[in-house]
Amino acid sequence: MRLSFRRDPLLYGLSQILGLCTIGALCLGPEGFDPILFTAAGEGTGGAAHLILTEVRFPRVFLAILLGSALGASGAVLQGLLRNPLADPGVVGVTASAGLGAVIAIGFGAGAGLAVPLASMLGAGLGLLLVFLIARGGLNGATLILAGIAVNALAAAATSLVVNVAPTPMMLSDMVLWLLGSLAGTDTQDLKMVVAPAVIGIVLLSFTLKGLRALALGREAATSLGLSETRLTVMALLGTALSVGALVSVTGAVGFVGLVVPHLMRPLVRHDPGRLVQVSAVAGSILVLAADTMLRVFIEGPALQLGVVTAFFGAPIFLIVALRGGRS
Amino acid sequence: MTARLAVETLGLSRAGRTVLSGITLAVDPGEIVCLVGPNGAGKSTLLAAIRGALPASGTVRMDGEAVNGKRLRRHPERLAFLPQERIIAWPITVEALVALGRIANGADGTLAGLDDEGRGAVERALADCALTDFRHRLVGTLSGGEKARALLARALCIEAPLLLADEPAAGLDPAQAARVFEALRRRARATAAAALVVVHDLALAAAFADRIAVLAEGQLLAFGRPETALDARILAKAYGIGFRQDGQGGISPDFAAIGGGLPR
Repeated sequence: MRLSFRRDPLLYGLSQILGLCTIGALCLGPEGFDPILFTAAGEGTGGAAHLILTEVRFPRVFLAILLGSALGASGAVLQGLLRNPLADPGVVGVTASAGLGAVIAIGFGAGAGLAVPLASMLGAGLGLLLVFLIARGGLNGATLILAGIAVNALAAAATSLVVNVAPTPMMLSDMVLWLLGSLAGTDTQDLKMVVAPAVIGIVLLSFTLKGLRALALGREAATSLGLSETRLTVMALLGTALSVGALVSVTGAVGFVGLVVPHLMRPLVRHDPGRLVQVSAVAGSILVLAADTMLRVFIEGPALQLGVVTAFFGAPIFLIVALRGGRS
Repeated sequence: MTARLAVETLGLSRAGRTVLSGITLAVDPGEIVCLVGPNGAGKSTLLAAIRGALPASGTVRMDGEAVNGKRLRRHPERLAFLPQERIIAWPITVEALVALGRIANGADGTLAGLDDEGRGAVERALADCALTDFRHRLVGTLSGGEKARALLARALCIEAPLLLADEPAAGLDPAQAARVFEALRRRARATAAAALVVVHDLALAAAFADRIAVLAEGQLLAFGRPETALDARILAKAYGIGFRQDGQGGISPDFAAIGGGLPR
């Protein structure tokens, strides 16, 4: 992403906050503050602190950052592209079809390992393909939203069916927990698997900034500026499917971040849909990382799922934003 | 002199219906050509065909070189287009709006991302459109005329040798409309940029056009100096109602003579 830190104090400030949050998250464990960073540095490779840091804490923190960034950026890109403030990665069916892939894999007995994430990525890819097929010939706002609704409905129906006929109660619980979304239990293996598609997806999203700005003038004017709306749409959808599809394949569905973060940032950004994407990417990272770290550190007993928390905070925030928008 | 834009026997059919046929016209450097004609005559379609947005037969040349849609899409800095719809789907300041035009020249669409040439182009466009004092205003707070000029400045900011504008003064009062055309003329005279402008107001066309093309049912009825093209008989044929010449070069529709009914 072409980050323009020097000329953008907001982006610079948010990046600083993200940096502090990252250090904080790495230093916070179940016992509260533990200066594991320094212990690990002191004892070198092979020590217990080093192991905890690299195998447990680092992958989870890094996944949280990637997930927040993918959700925030894709939400802002889709809202700009579809010129619809209600758009988020879920709208184009990516999350729902990734969820379908995951529950099918769990239903066939895939537990730990690569099967669930792979099935879920496959699901996201197929969902995207279906969106393209439905909307072919007219890759514009209205047809895309229609295609997304159709794919969402289809994936939701199939997911209900799979959950309904789940062979064992254990699988049922696995499916439901996946659908709620959580970063708990993620490890280096997960991170290694999704880091490449996630980063490629986010980079693809970053190529849409100029096109989104041009699109503010309408399709005809944007085209006359050399923008191809089809290319922009493909880039936005592919970027979303790759980044969000890959990340939710290991974290499960984490909702509301893609919808809420661009709305929270919009008043600060005002006149630039491209800048909104950059700012939302960083702000999304902060949000997901902070939420996940608080869950990890402060909640005892049965683990609360991250997706539940983001939804719980996201929905009222969205309500407030909507109320304020409706009044002005 | 090589014409900035030369359209030769351009024809276009959509869904088996001939929309344009045998259009031949030229716009010279520094010249403003106005395209007039009734609704549905094919004016906007002609602009779309020239910029290659719709497939058409015939030839379009810019400075002697044959161009097509593919070529123009690769070089958006050669042709600026100002659509009729005044869409600004974002709360944006006037100068930020104008800077969006520089995307055609390879800029990233932000003010901060402009190079010196780009900044100069934004300043010149603001000055030509008399918007320098409005630069920090949000476009949503402007009057209709100011907004129309801001969008014109967005198109001028590309500093393309050719501008196609679709009713840049639609819905404006006479003074505001004149300001829009004054900005166009200032730019055309100063830089030898050429403009082909769709306009409905015949008085505006007569005042600001160097040449006028009269289009009706997809065919050119006349193309020439305003005093020859804006002929009562030609216009009557184009619009299907009577026109009255006032003896001092002015011409206007003879609404009073319509009386009982219009031809359908």
